[in-house]
Amino acid sequence: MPAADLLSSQGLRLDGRRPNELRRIRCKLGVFTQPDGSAYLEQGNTKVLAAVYGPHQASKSKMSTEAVVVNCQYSMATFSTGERKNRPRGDRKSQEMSMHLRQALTAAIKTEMYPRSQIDIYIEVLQADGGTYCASVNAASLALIDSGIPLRAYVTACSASLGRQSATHEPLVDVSHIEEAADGVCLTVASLPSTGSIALLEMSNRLHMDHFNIVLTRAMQGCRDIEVILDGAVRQHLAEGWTKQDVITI
Amino acid sequence: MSEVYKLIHPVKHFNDYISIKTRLDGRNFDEHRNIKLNVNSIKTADASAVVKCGNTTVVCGIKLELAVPKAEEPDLGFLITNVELPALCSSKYRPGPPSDYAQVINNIVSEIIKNSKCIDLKDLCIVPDKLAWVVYCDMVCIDHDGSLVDACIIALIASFKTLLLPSVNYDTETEEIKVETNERINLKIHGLPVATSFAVYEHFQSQIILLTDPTNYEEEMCGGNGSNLIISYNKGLLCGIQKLGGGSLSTENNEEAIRLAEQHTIAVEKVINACLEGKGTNK
Amino acid sequence: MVTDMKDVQDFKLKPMKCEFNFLSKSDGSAILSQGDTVSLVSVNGPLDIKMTSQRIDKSTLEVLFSNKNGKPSVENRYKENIVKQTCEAAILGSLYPRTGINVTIQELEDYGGFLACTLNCTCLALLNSGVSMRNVFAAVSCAVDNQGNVILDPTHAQLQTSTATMTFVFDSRDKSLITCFTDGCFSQDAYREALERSRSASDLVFAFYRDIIRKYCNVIG
Repeated sequence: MPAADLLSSQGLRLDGRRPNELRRIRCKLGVFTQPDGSAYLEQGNTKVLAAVYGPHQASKSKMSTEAVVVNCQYSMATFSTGERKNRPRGDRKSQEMSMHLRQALTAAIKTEMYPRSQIDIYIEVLQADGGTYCASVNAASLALIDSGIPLRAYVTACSASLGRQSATHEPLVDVSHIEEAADGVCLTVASLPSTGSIALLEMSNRLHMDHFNIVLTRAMQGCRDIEVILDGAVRQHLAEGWTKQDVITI
Repeated sequence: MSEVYKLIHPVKHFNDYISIKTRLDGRNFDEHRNIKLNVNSIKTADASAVVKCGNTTVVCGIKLELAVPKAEEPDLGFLITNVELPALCSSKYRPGPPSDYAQVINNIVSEIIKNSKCIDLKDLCIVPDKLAWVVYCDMVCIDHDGSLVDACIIALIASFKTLLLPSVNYDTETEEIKVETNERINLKIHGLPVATSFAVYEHFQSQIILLTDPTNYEEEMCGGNGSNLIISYNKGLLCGIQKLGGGSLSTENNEEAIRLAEQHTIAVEKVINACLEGKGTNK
Repeated sequence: MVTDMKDVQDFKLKPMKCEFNFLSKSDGSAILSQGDTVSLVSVNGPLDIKMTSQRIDKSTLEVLFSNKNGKPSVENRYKENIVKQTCEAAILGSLYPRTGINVTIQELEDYGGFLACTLNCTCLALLNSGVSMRNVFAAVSCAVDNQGNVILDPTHAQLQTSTATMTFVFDSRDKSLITCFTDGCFSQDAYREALERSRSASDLVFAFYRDIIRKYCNVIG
């Protein structure tokens, strides 16, 4: 059910955004030297790091002759949440996150290019303020591009909720922590916007079928908007990156 | 061409550089990498710092919690330091429980902080036997390129310096706890401990070369178990010398290391103080 | 704080007692007591180890440390690391590629200077096992009392009032410093003095090694 107090009478959200407004996204590719690809992404107050190692030889038990094995690990720093987290990784929520990340990213990677190999994708959440999954997918997408692993398309993720303003229902894009905590519905979509396909869809709380479509459409629009931002970042990185790298390697 | 040579003849390649008195990244033997420091960048932590020594990057976040002091030490609070080396920071580490190396680093960092006595645990006690602060200091290495202990100590101390403890009212009769987050006081820090790492390289069996602030590659060329020599200073006193592996030190090498560590300490102190005053990045 | 040469020469270590082959099943073992501190070390190797930990250029050294209550802890990992790195510098590992050498340490009594005792005991156990070594090593511990005086090889009572302890390990060839670790705060001068006194005192340990080896050679021969 849409929570009643997510929208003010002026139609603004709890943090002052308009319903169709994303939080500010700031991102940077190639932030680290050790991994093959890395990225840092800020979505509002959610700050995420992603690193990609590989493709390298897969361990015998995991190896597949058909496609590359994608291994994801999602980890939240102990100081990333309001209450101190005792286990940064390995708890059920992190494991579920890791699994969902793997599913979304496998959909984007051209897995058939690297049989018998493995790609490791590590995510570290430094500060969590809602939408950590979306930020993780977006950061991982950038890190994969930085590592040079062939992708089918950009994979981006966005969440959406539903608010109510007097009698009309209004979908809200990019849910923040306070909106998540207000017990409203939260729909998360990971998609390949340029192909129009959905890689992962997840929803919590109850939502009437009549409203499902408008919420999904809003989330998909969010994915498309994020793709534009990520694409801009990649282009900018390449434009300034090549010259810099040449200087370093010589 | 140089990259190929490095892969095929790693030791000879390294020796050639040492022979012309320079290092792979162009530094002199006694030169440390640039330090970048930023404080309070993580809003969910009570205090935080991000430090970059060359490529080595460490994020430190401090979280505060309340607890009942131990019965045997009723007037002491708790200070818990933890260094994490997630698989993210280097291809050397696999996901899973902390590696032996992470545990060793963890022990070295907590011993340096304990021995330097920069924090009096009595300051963390609120009401003896009833209530005390637990200060959880988590240091996450997000890019590991050598001299990890130096970066951890800088991140930790910079976070301590910005840590504000909320005032707590404890009602002894009703045992009610009231935390006033608006009234905050600085935690007392005694001195400013700084660690300096060296790699000790034995050049042609006889000559001992001290490499200040070694990179990951240099550490590997000198034994492969992290920095060989770590000297820590606080308020002009030594608060920890660890020498593990690498070449053996003569008296002269030892004197040189102490002298270099002293210089490095002064430089790092300047960076930290400048950062805390200007709240910006520098050096 | 000023040390004249007379003071340096007038040093003494706690009485040392050692027995080789204390354990019958291991390739080499030694039990060493320095004063009231007692440590037991067994060495096995070179032996076959699993593929993943094999190294093509030298033997892999594994150190296992267990204290009296037998619980694993972060501190044990640190002690294992100290012993491992010290032994690695001394053993000629390149003679045994693709093999492993296991060193197992059991704490028996700790009345101060335990790690120094353990390191000496490890060296004796390695000698007993017949593993080829570049050199032998000797560990000496020092303490700084609250007046700033350096005490060589402190007793348990002296440790209670000391502000810092330091342990140094020297090699037998040119007495250079292989390993060093400290606890507590101390001045540079105290460190220098402790280092030089320990360096001189390491002669006593090397002499003790020679005695004990000679004794055992006579028994066998």
